[in-house]
Amino acid sequence: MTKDLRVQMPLWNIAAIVGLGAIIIPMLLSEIRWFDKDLIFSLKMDYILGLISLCGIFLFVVTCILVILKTIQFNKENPNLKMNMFSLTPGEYIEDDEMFRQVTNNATRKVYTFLSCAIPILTIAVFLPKIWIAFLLILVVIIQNLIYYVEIRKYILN
Amino acid sequence: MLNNRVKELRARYGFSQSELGARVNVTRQTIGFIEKGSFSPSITLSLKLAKELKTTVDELFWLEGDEEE
Repeated sequence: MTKDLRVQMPLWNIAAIVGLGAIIIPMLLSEIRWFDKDLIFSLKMDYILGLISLCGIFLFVVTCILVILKTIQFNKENPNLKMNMFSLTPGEYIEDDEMFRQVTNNATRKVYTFLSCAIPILTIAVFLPKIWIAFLLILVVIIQNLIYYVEIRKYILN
Repeated sequence: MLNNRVKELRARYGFSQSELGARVNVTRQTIGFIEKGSFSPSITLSLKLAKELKTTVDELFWLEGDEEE
């Protein structure tokens, strides 16, 4: 069960958001120049930030490809529990039976409790520089996924 | 806490957790959690378990502190 894609999904989400963060944060620290009338811009980045950005692109693309492949594999192995990649319902929900529905409810409740505190606090971030807003948003998404994963794993390992 | 005789009766009828789970349409893990008393099943599931284990719900489940008849 620990190898179930639905259990591992929060970790994949974290990998994807870390990848996105590694793309966005160096961009915010770099010089972006927009050319008039066109949707063309030039990006001037130092070597280290460029390297971090490339690693971010690599991590994000690889994570997306692996999640798509794993979802296809999961759907083949579990035709009655098919995951829809284009659905708004998060893939990490486990609703096989009433106990797993309760476990999922407990985990989503914990995440909701965290977000109901984190989002109002995050509104203060509008006064901070852009880089901090991006950093805090990424941090919130990572913590949200970790809370969900730890709660589900507690039941799976029990 | 909800005490139960699921493990005892399951052993009596020679079912594994997976087999009993399949008979009442839940996962093996759920049967394990019910046996440990960590999860209280719904009335529907309790009735299905009682039926499969050839007993009644009140003989299968009782509240901690209550006398087992």
